[in-house]
Amino acid sequence: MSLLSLKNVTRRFGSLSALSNISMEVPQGELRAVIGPNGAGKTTLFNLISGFFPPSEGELLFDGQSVKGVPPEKLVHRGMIRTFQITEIFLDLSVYENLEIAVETAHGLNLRPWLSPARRRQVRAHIDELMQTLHLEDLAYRMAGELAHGDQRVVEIAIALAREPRLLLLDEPTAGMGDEETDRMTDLIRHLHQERGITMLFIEHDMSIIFNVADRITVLDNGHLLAEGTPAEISANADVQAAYLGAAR
Amino acid sequence: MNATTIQDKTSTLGGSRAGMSSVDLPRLAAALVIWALLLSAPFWLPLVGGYTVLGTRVLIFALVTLGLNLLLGFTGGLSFGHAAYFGLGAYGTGLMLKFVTASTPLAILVGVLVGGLAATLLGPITVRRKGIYFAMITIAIGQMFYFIAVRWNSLTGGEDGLTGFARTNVHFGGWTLDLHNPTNFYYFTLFFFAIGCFVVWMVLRSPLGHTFVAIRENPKRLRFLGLPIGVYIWIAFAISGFVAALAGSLYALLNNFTSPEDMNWILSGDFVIICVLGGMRTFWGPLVGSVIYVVVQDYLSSITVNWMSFIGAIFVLSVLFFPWGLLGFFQGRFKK
Ligand SMILES: Nc1ncnc2c1ncn2[C@@H]1O[C@H](COP(=O)(O)OP(=O)(O)OP(=O)(O)O)[C@@H](O)[C@H]1O
Ligand SMILES: [Mg+2]
Repeated sequence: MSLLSLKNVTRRFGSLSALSNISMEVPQGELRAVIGPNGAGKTTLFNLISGFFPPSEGELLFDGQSVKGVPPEKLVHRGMIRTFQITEIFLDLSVYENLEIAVETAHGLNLRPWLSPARRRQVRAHIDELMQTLHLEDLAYRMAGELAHGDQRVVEIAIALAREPRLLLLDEPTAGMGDEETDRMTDLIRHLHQERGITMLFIEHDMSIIFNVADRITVLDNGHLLAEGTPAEISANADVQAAYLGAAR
Repeated sequence: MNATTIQDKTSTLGGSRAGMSSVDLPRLAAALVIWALLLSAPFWLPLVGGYTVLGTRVLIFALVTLGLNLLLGFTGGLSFGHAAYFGLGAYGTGLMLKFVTASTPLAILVGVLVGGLAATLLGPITVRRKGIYFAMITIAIGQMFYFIAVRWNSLTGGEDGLTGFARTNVHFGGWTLDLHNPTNFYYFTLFFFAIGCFVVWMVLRSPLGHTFVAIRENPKRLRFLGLPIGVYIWIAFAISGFVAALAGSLYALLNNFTSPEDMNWILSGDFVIICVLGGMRTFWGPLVGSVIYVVVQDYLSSITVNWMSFIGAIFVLSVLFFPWGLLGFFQGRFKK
């Protein structure tokens, strides 16, 4: 059964149809890329899936259950978490503190005015583990706001991973990154997919990454689902070439 | 990796999250100096032209703003209505002493419960609004209590205020604490101030406090981590309401009097000014702000009725030159 499925989903903003009649299935364990020109509706798709706003029409299922109209804070508890096109982290806190709040939230400790030493060690171990996985140890005590853009993106992913999601939505994880940072992010995405088996949807403009790591690709254009298939199928698709791959960007 | 480095490099803005779980010498030293000064205040205040009651007033304003700052500085919720809970504490205590009991502790308890529960019950109405709407609804709710106090003449004494009650001595077993003595009342107030400090300090270094700061920093991120942030703003609101009520209760006992002005939004605004003056994102900022506020008020109100304009001028200057308050400024310097 698919972990995520969309059935004839439409989202309108006034007279604009940002997404029209989209159906898609994302099986457990898949690494799915979502591509499309600017304004195609990619972020809108993420906003719908993550509960930021409900679809105007259609049905959304996560793990076989309808999640239409379920707010983001509830979806997170079912195992879905996202990052944003514009990085959303705690800029005036250190990297360590960013992960601390994420881990404490993941462990459901937010109401605690006090932690036992054992709990505190547990939280700490989880933070250390995240910092190791994402190679953030050297940046632990730096203010998140002072970091390079690419490192901030990594911090955002670390925050998301603290919740140990089953479905991770990444909105343009490599946007604005240099080559080296992009390679690092690509490795990270591959690692999370292969080693941890996290089902992922990621929006990406960089073709080399997509063809490198994605199992399947969904192509959106102007709010419509233009094509879906393996990287080989997509690169051979004439519609896609016309609408997107052939375009100047 | 060790705890000390983490605490040392904690942001100035996230400031007092640095806590004391590891030894942070400058902070510890500052805290020791502050407590030494507070404990010895009745002895040195006369030497610098002050008097004990002035010190008690500072403590009461510092207590209410310490609590308010949990909401304002650490959670990022601008309330212009906390005088209402301060005033409810004051009226609750005054009315108890006047009509019900001769016990000061019981009168305090009732004042704290009345003001604190009012904040807790009204919090949910407030926390659903954002930014300026949050501020406006806090004013509206606060003013509602102000008008009740003005209109309900038979009970509250209306605009003339509530008189006819006085604090009584406290008895523990066979021992009596004479609260009529201003110095004793100073230490009585200091005891409650210490409790307030301990509560706020504990909260700030706990996951609850981390959550408050994270709400201030990025509520959207927190929502998408699965947190219903309204509940937590409500908790900050309620805690600050209880602390405000305690301070108001002590204020009624200090003056043996309370009036609608003790719940007016002008006073709420003064509380906000005190926090901003001293440094909203620092633990001791409210105390520093209260010293400035109370001292300026004391000296200038004997010279001019427009003393508030001076506070206003100091406020504007401080916002221009020390946007993070006096303490925020000095801490920033110190770290460089
Ligand atoms: N909240 C909103 N209100 C009104 N219009 C919106 C809203 N969100 C998106 N849109 C519109 O929907 C269309 C699709 O936007 P979307 O952000 O999903 O594009 P995208 O594929 O993510 O583009 P990009 O590559 O630039 O990020 C755009 O025309 C956009 O202006
Ligand atoms: Mg987008």
